[in-house]
Amino acid sequence: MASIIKSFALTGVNGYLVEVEIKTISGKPSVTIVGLGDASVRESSERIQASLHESGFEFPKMKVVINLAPGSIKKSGSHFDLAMALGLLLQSEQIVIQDPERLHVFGFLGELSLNGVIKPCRGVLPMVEAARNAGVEKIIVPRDNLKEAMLVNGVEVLGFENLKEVVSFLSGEKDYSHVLEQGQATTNRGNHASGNDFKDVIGQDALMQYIVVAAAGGHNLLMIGSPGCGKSMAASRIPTILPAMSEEESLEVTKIYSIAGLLQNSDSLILERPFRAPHHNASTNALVGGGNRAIPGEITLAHNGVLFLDEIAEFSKKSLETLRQPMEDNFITISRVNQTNTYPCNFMLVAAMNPCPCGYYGDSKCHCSDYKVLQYRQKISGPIMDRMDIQKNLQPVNFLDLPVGAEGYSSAELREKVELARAVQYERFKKVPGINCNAQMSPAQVKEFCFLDNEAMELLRKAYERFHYSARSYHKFIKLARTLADLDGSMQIRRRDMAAALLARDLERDRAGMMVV
Amino acid sequence: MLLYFLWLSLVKGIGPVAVKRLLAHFSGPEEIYEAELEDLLRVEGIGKVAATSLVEARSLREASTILERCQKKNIRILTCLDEDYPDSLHDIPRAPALLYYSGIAPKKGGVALVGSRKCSAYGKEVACEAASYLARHNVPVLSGMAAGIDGYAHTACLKAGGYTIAFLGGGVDTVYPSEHRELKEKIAASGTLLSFFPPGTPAHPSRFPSRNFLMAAWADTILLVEAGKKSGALLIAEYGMKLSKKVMAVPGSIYSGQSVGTNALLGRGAEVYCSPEQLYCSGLLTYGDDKSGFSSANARAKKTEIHGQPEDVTPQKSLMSRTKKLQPDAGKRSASESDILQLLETSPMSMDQLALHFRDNRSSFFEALTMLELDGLLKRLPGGIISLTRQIDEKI
Repeated sequence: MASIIKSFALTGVNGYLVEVEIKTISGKPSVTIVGLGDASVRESSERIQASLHESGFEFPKMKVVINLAPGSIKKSGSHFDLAMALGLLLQSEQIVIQDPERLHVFGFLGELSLNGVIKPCRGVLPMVEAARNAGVEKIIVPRDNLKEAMLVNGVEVLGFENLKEVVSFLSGEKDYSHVLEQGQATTNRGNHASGNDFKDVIGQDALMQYIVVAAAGGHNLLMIGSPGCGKSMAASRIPTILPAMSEEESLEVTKIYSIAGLLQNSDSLILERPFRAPHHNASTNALVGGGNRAIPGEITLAHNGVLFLDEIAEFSKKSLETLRQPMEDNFITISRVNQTNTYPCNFMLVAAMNPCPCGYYGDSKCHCSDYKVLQYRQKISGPIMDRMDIQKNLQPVNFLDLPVGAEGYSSAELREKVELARAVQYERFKKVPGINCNAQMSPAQVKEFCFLDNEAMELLRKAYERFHYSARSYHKFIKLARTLADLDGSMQIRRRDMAAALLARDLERDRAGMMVV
Repeated sequence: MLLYFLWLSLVKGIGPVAVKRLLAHFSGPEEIYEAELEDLLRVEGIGKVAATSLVEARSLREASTILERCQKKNIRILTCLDEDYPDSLHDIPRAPALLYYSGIAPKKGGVALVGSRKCSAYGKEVACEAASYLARHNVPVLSGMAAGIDGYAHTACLKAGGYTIAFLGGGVDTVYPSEHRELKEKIAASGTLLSFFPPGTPAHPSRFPSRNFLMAAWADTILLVEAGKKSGALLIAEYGMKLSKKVMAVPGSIYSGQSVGTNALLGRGAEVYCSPEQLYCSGLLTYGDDKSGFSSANARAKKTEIHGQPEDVTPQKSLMSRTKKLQPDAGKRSASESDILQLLETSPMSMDQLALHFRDNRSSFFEALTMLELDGLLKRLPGGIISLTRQIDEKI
């Protein structure tokens, strides 16, 4: 009878159970691995042969057939090695399991080196989670992945360094000795390791106000300013004022990083909201995800956090356009020959750009004509610009102008405001599926949830008459005013909320004042 | 006939001067086409070389291709035999005898607003002010559709509902620079694109001087807004002086690179430009329906007398009435609003700089700012700098 060992594989951000079936048949010695494995799976046989030999076992001189069930899904990765090796040992009766009936409560993950050492692998967190969901009680993982695996509650995680140790544990010769406290890591919530704080941003009070609005209402933000005026500095601090991630969100993010192989600090969940700043040279696939294995791109890595596109006008038009759909759907499906994966990508887009080709628009050294400036700004297509609720001009700060001892607002202080406004929105959208912040409201919902008092309405009407804003920005102003009112704890949108919202779209104002046909 | 005229204009070695001489001698271009060498040699100023090339070039293939192209692209042709051909060009032998245009039929005369491609905010303001003033008084605005001053002159004129002619340094179906694609279409819709290069000729710097000459010849008045040391616009003004047109230049800072050319031109006798009325009073009158076009100096003087003040409201007047209207409001301004006005009195500021003064009271600051903007008391400079709207009474 074939030996069946439980292991796991990845699809998108989730793991699933794979039963590794091993059977030795008398015949010409050979190894065949079936079950739609890729090259890394096929190469397993060589690694297993060497590591069995090195660990003092013998590779059976028979025809070996290994099947990865379900056999209809394509699989990839070297972490099936451990399960295959153990299955072989069982088939050739080189180990005696203490309690053979209980083998099915174990799951195995790990790549074998030629020396029999168990090497760490990618995506352990989602696979351990899948193990728990599949009813596995104990999972054996590489020592180096132990802490990451222990982030999952409800399953006993055992970490081993080499094949020999695993065998002696299973046969009852040795007890497991590296017990770690489970759930140790998840306690230090809200601690920002990066050390960024908005306190360092001084003299840009108006911008700060709109950053808070953006963070509170989930509005996308575009900053326009000359080189060196602090766009990146402000952007990198935005995650520090976003509300803390819930446990569920943290797990989502950690899983994504686990799959991408980016879990450097593997002993804790990722608690800080991600901040991703891809260079403008990034390819479309790097942004949205892709490659042979359909791995997550920057937008997925920014899930629950901030995607910062510096010099957004320099990104290739094609790459930017691909962001449109995922921004709407909050997920992205990547199809490749080998697999089709769906990844979450619910991020806040923060972008920065120069105001004109030379970068010094408004300065005496800038000679860009209005046509040239507009042509430059049109590099960002209408649909993308349309998703930028807030567009603010930035000026370099002259430190001599600042009052003595001027201090910025601390992130903690701002975050409190943001969390308050988010709580209001949470209440508001409790019964509306798929919406959790003001920015996501549809026009119909704007009508339902945004009440303007007479003064505010009058102001909006006047502004349209005077500045000829486009029709599509009408709802944006109202949504922004909604967030401003939420920040103030007001049910109605008042004149002052509308007034501040009307100052949020500088590019559109610029456009109105330009000398072009 | 047009076909033969086109052929004549395309013959290598035969320039506008020769064309006009030939036309004066023969009864029409068709006759020139069929003329024998001896007949041609009889024309005064036509040498053996020119006559031979005329005879040798006796093929209508190229001309008919161009004519076909013109018809397809709705490009029309204006020759010196046409009634619409401006008198100002008749007087100048070097002026091209055949012009291509698209858009509406070119109106005669006008004021050329020219300047450098890389202009300053000052130049932009002057150009826009002058162009919209001219537009309001139905004076054609002439310029070269280059970047910078040229582009602003056309744009401001169109925005004010005026008529403008763009003199192109390539065929009228080419766009140069590329950012003016939309502008070109707008000019074609309500103005005229004019060139003496056949359609399809790409714009090239080597063609600009002759384009500049045509503009100088066409214009009644030339205003040089801004020009560096070696600006093409400076050339137009110099041609203008040679053709004894009225040439004006905008004085600029002696430290500004963009004003070196204009200041130098002033030194050479150009009129100092201080306000757009100078363009109007310099003798340009309603071009609109005046078929005869160029009115005599006397008629001009008379008309100015009769009209006194032009019917349209001058910028001064309109702004004056606006300030007056705003004044009663001034007392009702909120504390934050008056604070903002006071802060901006010394110099324009960015929104962030202003916000620094309202740290404890930010929401009222935003409210005040919006209210002031809506009332037209504030304006935005490029880059989002906020400044007071120019106080007009100072100027009067």
